[in-house]
Amino acid sequence: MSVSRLAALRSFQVLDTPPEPQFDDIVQLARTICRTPVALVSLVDADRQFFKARAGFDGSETPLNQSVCVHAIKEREILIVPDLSLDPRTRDNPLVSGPPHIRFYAGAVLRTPQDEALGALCVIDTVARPHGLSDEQTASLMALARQTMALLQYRRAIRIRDDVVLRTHQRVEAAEGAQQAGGVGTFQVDLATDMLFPSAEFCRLYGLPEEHAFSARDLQAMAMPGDVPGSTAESRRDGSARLEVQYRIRRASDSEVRWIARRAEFQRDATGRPLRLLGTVQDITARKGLEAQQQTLNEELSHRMKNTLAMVDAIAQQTLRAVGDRAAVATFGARIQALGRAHDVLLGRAMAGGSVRATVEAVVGVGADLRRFDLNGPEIDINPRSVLSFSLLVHELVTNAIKYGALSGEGGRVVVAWRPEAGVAGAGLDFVFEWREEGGPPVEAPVRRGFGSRLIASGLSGTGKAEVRYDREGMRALFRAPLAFVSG
Amino acid sequence: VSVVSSRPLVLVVEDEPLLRLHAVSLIEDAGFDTLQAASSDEAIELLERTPAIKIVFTDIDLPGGMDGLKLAAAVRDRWPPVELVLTSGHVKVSAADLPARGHFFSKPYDADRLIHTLQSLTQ
Repeated sequence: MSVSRLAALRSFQVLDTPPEPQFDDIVQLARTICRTPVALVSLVDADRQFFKARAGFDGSETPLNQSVCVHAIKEREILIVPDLSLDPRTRDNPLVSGPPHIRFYAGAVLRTPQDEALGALCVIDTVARPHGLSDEQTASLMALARQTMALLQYRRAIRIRDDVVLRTHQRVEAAEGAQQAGGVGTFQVDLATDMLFPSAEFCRLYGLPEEHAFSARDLQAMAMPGDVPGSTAESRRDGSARLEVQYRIRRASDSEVRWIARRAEFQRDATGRPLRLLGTVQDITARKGLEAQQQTLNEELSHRMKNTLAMVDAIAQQTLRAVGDRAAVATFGARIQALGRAHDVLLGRAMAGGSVRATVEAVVGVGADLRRFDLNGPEIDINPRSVLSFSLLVHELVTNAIKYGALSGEGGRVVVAWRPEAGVAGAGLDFVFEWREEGGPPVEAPVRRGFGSRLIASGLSGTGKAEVRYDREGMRALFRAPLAFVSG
Repeated sequence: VSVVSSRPLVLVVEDEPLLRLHAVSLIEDAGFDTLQAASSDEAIELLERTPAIKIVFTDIDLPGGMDGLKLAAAVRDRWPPVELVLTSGHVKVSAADLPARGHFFSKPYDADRLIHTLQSLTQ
């Protein structure tokens, strides 16, 4: 028994299957052409032969000791036995020695393209035929055997294709199910035609009927006026479209406005020319709503905070009405206002900190003329923790400049500069903040160290790294703190 | 209320008593007379009875249906000569929200600058 032959037979998954008309037609033809009472499509298994089609024979299988086909499959193409009772291989076959006393056998081998013999298309008679089959009958029987083999292969190919289709379908269903569960739709834009191929979930998110394809331009028109669209025909073609965008659409099904987050990437050919835009879309309306609520809450908190500051100021001013040193009382009020301004900066950035420039501008704007300032420095964000103390520091510098320094008379100016700078070897970058007054009266170091000068001396975020010099040209101060401490 | 005085009259509208008290004392110390209201409705009543009011200094965040911005718009409409100064703890007050000739101070405000503005409006 050949293992590979049996494996080949199993691969056709035909054993013990019900009759099929195409195979029945073949045995009828074989019987007619060869003028025999019996014709069979016999498949030789390990211990039996199974008849996929039979004419003139009862029973769908027999044991191998009753099989002649088991000898036929050892032949190259065909086995013809004129008298089975004379052949040593078959004379003891129970079907020969006993009823129905078969005598004549001709079997054309069913051979796969891989050269494995699966069985035979055979014709049988109970009368011996010394002359066997005519040449025409032999050729016809072999042709019908080839047809049988072709049918078997065709049958197997259909089954494999159906399997693939089913599995693909299952995979697509799973993917679509996952997309629906996650609320994520996918799409692909063919840039040559500018047609967009959406997933089912994409159509659902956009409120569109489930179509195979849409014009990308039509979908682009669903974005709300004023929102930056995901891409334009031009930015798709030249591959410059932004890869991550958020925009609102008016959903096609119910005209509701929805927030969409779209991520995409280009597939390019070997020369870098974009061919396709692939990506995902997600409805983030709920998240946007939460963000808006958060913003409202932040504004409310900041509002309350500033009202509290206003109350503290009012209490202090009322409590200190009798105090002789009116300047001290005014200074207190001004410091409270600087804190209020710092809260504005914080809120402007939705509690995420503020930029150095915005903070300086907000604080300077309270008591001084911004036009007398030169602000030079890159966009650096200060974290929320540092914004408040930084604001107070700047406030003290501004107050001093107005009282004693460059802003006390006409014509003086203040240069404010900041930058990241290499810090101590091994450590990260430093944030350096420089204050330089010009064109004011000659200044002297203050005799008494008040809260203001202590605040200045304590530097950025209380790091104590402050160099303050009272030069002839004006006051100069240089503050330094680890960038990571102040920013980020 | 009948005030016979040469000092300009300022109506202070603020629902928070402490802040109202503080504003009143600041403004009186600077040489103004004051009237007080805790709501827009009270303010309108006082305006109707008191033609001498020169300036309305109002908080924007007031209880009830009419906030300080609506009050200011109503004053601008019904008493055009009256000057308007507004204050708020809210960040988002833009020039477009303010009535014509309206001035705005973010809370907590600088007392000196407020007084300076009030004085410039009565000269």
